[in-house]
Amino acid sequence: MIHGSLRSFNLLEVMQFIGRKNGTLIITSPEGKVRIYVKDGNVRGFVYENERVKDIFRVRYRFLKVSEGSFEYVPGEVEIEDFSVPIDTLILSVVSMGDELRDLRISSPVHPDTVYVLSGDVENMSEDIRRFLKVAGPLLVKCSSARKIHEKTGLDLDMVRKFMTVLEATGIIRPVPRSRVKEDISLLGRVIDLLRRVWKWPK
Amino acid sequence: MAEIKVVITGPVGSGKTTFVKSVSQTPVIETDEVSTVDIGKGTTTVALDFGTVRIEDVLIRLFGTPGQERFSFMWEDLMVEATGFVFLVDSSNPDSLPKARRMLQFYMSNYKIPFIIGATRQDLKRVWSPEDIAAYFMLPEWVVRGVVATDRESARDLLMYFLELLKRKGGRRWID
Amino acid sequence: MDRLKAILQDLVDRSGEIMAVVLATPDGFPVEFAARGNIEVDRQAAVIASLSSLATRSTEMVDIGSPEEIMITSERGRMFVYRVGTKATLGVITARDVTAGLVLLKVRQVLPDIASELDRVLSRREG
Repeated sequence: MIHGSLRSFNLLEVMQFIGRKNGTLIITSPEGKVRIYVKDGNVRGFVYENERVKDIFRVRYRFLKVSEGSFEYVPGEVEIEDFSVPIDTLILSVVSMGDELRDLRISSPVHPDTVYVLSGDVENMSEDIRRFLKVAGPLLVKCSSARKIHEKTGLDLDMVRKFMTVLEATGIIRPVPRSRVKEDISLLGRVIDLLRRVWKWPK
Repeated sequence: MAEIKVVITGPVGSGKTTFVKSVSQTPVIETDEVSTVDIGKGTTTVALDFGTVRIEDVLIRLFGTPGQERFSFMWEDLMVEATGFVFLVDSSNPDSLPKARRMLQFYMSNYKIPFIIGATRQDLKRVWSPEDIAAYFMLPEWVVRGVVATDRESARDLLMYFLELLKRKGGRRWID
Repeated sequence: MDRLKAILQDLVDRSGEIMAVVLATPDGFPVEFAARGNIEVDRQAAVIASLSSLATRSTEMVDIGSPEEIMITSERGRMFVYRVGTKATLGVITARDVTAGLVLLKVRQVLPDIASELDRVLSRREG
């Protein structure tokens, strides 16, 4: 059975993980008890302390506020279907966070020496993420680890790891094996598009 | 007789030393010392475990790594000339999984050799299933198998499975 | 703890050839150290514990008893490792052209002091 504590797991990765399942994620936290109903990759319901939250902004707010406690996943038919938001959307909303991103607790950041590559892009990035990608993007295109980025840019290692954890959860970067995969033209094209938007290059 | 080297690795408390001791057919060289901090058990490996086991026509030299980060200087040395590695995780201790995932990503990133994951303590209640662990690690289900590290037959089964995969898929990296 | 530090510092100060001494727990945590210049104490403590444990297994395997001393001769120096009772391990890093006999004499002379001081510190902690 799937269970654990948010002291060790990032809520983002838990959501990503149960994203393809059907069931209920129950989170018991000091802020209150939360039930998230998931079906076919979509969040269908959100109950906070017995109150059914139907406003997506409030769902997002409550979701990001949960920082400690334990979780348990119960598979099966969902009882509540108040709305339908792709889990990816909820997870991606983290990259558009402003100041809250600094406060977001990351229990298990990326390993400093695991090599990552830029593998996707997204609209509506926050200033923080944009600024990070401006410096780290060119390194990540050629594959880099948090430690290498920290050494080459002087950015604080813990901050680099935090940003990369968020980028990994949202699919913008992914870990790669040491041997570089052969050039993927379409991937390169998408990556150039991303950098173009981050750096505000003319088309 | 083919001879291969398999490294048994994974986070603290996942059952590496136990696994090597269960399956080895020769007396195990272990470097267990009393733990001065609370890691959930009384002893910890400070250098390596070494054992050997013959399965069918293959002699497997097993090298168990220390789990604690401050002995990470051993990991690189122990991986030299390894045919593959078995990554153990304690399925009864979910809080060890995120750290295990990060450690596995590090291994996958830096060593392009075959590996499987052994989900230990499957004999206990309230454990994560091997399928769920595979999903959390974002790996295909066939990479993760349940195992009871204290049981010789179970440990042998895991190694036999690994050998089978080696024969079918070859000795180069299996996962991209 | 101060007395332990004093004993180790004294070893380094009084002998021109001893570059550093590190006292570590058997599971690789630093207890105390003294050095000329910087050393990565945490790493050193872990390495010393590994060496000590491996040495014990090696000598026991060939049935020649427990190790009393490990000596590693390297291009630019030497490293000695001693068990201090059952509760700690001492690593000593020296220059290469060390008068091995003299250095060891000094170290062996203070080992009992270190052992009893360590016992005192540990029993005070547990008590």
